[in-house]
Amino acid sequence: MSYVIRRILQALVTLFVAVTIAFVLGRMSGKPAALILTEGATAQQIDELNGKLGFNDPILGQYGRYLAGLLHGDFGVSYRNPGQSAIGIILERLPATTTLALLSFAIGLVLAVVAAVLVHITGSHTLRALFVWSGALRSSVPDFFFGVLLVLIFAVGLGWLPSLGYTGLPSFVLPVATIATAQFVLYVRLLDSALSEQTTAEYVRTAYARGKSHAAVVATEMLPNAFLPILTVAGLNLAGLLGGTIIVEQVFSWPGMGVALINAVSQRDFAVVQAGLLVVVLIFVVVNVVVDLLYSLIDPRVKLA
Amino acid sequence: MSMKTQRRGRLMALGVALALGSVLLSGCMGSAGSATSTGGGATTAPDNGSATLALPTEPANIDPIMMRSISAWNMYYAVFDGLTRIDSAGKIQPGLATEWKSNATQDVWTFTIRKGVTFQDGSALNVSDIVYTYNKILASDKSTNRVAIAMISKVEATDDHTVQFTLKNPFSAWLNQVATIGIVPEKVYEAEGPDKFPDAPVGSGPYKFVSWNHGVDYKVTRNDDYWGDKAKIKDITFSFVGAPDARVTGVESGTLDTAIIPASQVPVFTGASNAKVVEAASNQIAFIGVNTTAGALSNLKVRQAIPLAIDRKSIIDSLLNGYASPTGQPVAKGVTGYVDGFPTPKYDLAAAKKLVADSGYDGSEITLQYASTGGSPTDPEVAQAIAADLGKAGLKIKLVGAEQSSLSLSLANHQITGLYLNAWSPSSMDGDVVVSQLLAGGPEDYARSPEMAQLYLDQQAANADKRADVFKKIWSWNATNVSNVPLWQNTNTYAAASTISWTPAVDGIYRAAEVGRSAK
Repeated sequence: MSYVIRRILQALVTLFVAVTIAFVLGRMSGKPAALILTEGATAQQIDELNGKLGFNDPILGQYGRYLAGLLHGDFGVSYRNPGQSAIGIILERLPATTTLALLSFAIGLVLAVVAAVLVHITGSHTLRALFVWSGALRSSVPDFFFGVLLVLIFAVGLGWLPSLGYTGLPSFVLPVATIATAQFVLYVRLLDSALSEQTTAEYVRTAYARGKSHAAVVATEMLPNAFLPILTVAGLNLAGLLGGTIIVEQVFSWPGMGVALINAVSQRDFAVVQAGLLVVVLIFVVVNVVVDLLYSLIDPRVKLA
Repeated sequence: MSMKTQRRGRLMALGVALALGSVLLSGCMGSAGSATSTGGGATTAPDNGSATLALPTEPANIDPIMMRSISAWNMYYAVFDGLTRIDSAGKIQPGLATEWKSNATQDVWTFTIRKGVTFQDGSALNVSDIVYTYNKILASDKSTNRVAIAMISKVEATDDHTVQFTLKNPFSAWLNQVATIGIVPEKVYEAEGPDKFPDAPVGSGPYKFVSWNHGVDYKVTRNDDYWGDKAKIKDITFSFVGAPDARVTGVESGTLDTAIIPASQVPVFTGASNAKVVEAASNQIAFIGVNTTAGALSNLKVRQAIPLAIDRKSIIDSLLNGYASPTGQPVAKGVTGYVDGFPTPKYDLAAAKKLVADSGYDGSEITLQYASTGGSPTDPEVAQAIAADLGKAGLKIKLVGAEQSSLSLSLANHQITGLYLNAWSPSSMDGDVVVSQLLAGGPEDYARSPEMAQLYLDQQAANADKRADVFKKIWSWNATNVSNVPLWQNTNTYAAASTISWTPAVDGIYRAAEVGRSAK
């Protein structure tokens, strides 16, 4: 119980620091009315709108108002989009971001497990070389270029898939493939070396001595142990993906959180930036807690206290 | 064959190791000799087909009361009607108003409203809806449209088919201004309010709203009861695609039917079978703005050296692939205020050098601010070339790059420290806003010349015939005093599916109803 309370307190402090930094940095970058009013607004009109939006008040007062609002669950209103709540604009992007992130992450991870286990069960050098080489090749290609490459081949060249958009199942294939391949090569390498480390462990010899088959030892004994070091990396990765994948979103014109945040920053839509940051920080906190819990599930030696 | 070389060209342009790319691509492209388009059109009759038009930015809001935004006009011009209409050549045409007149001083404007127009929900469009729309904007504190019509003193219906505007000051560009205001039905807007209206907008335009999938697209379908020419294509999707590369591959693959693309990507489409490039002069002028009060720039001779020292032609040819034409006035051909035959400064390095030498310039540093990202993709290279040109004339230039919105904030807040590279494109297609912004009291005017202030008022009060003369005086004043150095008029380049028949508008805004598709 004390663990839960401690984690919640930690999370609150993290959130507080994040929103404060976002708030201060945002205000330092200038008042936004001049960016909202388009053609030919006078200095007086600009100043008037800044005033109406509350940006002419002392910054401490603005900050106090913002924090007070947060405590009431009010994240502020986007001024680019009068009437729309800032958190609404961010949450609206969540489905596109989470489906892309979870799908790519799961596919990458599951295939990596299958591949690594396969390498170790068969003991095939060719198979390992294949994964290591293709992995090196894929990780040497930045996501944006790999994405464009997929588009050129499968959308432009072959015409099988749409090149962009969030418009149904076919539109998922290329962005998912872009992220999933990057995830796959990362985990397959980590798992492979972790599994190799286990082969000489005492418990593995014991398992063989008990008469277990090689395949069973790899899958049921070595894999859970090899999985521990992966978990931390995977957790951070997943949180990163859930926070938005700006590059992939841009290549495929995907309506994710990353691009929404970038746009809000450049439009000085402070409330949206702050709400977005809160959501991203929250995702990191939650994923971290889940990783901790999984640790204790997989490895009985780990106790949460 | 030609397709293969095209792809390779692109890869190089992306600046990525050729070896990897060409091995992978040659292998795959070998079997892809006949690319198939997944875009609609070939299978359906043209009049009932669909088209997907790409937009580089998504408006934060699509509500003609609250939001004035260049990207939102693409949707406004489809779903709503203004009193007048700016056609794709930039000329004023009748809209909801069939005719209009102004008084001699250009501050009372009377519009005769078309009879029998209905909104898309079937209700009749009355003069009261027009009066309501304007008053609603004026009463909405946070409306960004309010600035554009703030000169209204009174708007009233003088009878069932006449609307009269009384303005606080003469404003000869009023016909352009009303073209940009879409009329909404009072009943619906009052019921829905600014929160809900954008989710189910009702207008009287050639298209009806279908859906707005935020971050993805905005769909409309033909309004078969439209009072004017019916839309050519039944279903239009405005697709929001921010990345230029994604727009290029979008058209190549048939996912998109039209998209504005960077001039540097034009060669991708040379020889393509399913897509073509469409060029159109834009209403955008690139210029160097000048803080005429800052340091060395307060010296007239130093300023006068600048237009002569910049080699416009060589920059256009080498950096803009030729997609621009040099100019000496800050409004584009097609925009009201453009003066035919107004001279473009000739590149004359010797004369520029002499002016700098005669000026007594002390060699102090002059900053040149530009958009390093978020502006035109060629801005950084253009800024460098201009700095080099000015350097040759003897001026010491320091380049200061920042993201476009930071630059825009400095501009709007009157905080430029020297020179800046920027561009202007008046969507109202009238030079009034350009003069006020750059030369006559706006945030980008540092000279604050009383002479120019008077010329600006003269321009507002002049009727159409006399206005051209005033504009000529304004541009001449600027050429002599160098408050602003117009560089060139940009040419927009679009990629389009080869079946699409369409003339891009000079303001770069889609008139969706005019986009057609030829049966292939």
